[in-house]
Amino acid sequence: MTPSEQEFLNKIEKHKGIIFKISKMYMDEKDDRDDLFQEITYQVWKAYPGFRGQSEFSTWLYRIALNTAIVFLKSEKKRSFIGNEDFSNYKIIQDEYDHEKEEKLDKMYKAINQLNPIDKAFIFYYLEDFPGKEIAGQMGISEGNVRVKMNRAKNKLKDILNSK
Amino acid sequence: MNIDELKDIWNDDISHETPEISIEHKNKINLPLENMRKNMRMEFWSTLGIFIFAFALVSLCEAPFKFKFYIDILLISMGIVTFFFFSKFFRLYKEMSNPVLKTYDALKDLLQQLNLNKQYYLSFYLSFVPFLVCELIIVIECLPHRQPLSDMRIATTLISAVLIGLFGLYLVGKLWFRHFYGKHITKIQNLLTELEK
Repeated sequence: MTPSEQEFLNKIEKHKGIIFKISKMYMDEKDDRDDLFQEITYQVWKAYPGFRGQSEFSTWLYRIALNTAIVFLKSEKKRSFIGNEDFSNYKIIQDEYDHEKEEKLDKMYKAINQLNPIDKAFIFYYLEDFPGKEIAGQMGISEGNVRVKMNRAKNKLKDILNSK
Repeated sequence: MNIDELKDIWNDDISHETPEISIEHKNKINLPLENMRKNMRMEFWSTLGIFIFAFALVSLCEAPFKFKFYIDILLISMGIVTFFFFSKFFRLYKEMSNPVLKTYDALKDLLQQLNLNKQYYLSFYLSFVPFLVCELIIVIECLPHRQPLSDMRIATTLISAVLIGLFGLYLVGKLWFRHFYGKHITKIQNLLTELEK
């Protein structure tokens, strides 16, 4: 492995949790989530030689991750009749298993999964506490537009959560 | 569940079991572009197959040398045009997509490139019209007919064949493009509209 590959892997290792969270936001099935996770990693790896450090690595990575996730397609292979697998495959390993927390996580991801890809991106920035100016920079739209879309996405999510 | 609660839930989600990172990962067909590249490759190989079949058919059929020679020249010319367009398609698809750009710019850039490709595609289909006309002229002029064709009949045959051919090419091209490429372009277009409105 070359030093640049090692450096990349070290950096991405620190952020793999967030990449996986994005994958869970965008894909509701395990295979698709894993595919998206690998695709984001691959796209970041391809773009890495062009990373000049003008912004935080994490900010740069989030943009690539979301841009990849937004246009990502579900695989067309046939699924089993059992239907959507829940998120229990990715339970947190803990000494004491926290059922309540898992239920909340499950509910949150299922609700986010129902949003359109653009709304998901806004919800991601909201959950990650990104300021409006930075979101505008990442998305390439005005701050005013960010406010409008953020509110719209949050309202949609609120409606989905309340309808359950 | 309250929306403000989500931030706490989100921050509590610390997955220890993430998939293994592999930079050797090759693109699976989960991106619209990859899907289109796959379709383009399939289209290239099937076109090549059609050309080989056409050459074999011409060499096997019993017809005057002049007819077979003209058709062969025509097929070679069509092959050159096809090669030119496919090389353009492949180059365009290779250079397309830049996820480093701002989301809006990345989508717009992708859409513009795809629309450019659409124009190439249309030109590709239209470039077959002169070949169709040539083929018809060769058939009329080189193949023996029981009775000599009148000028009126030649003109009617040629004009109607061009009109039907043009309509057919337009229709087939449009349906083919929509089926294999259009749905992905629509998806990108919808995402962009969503971001703009």
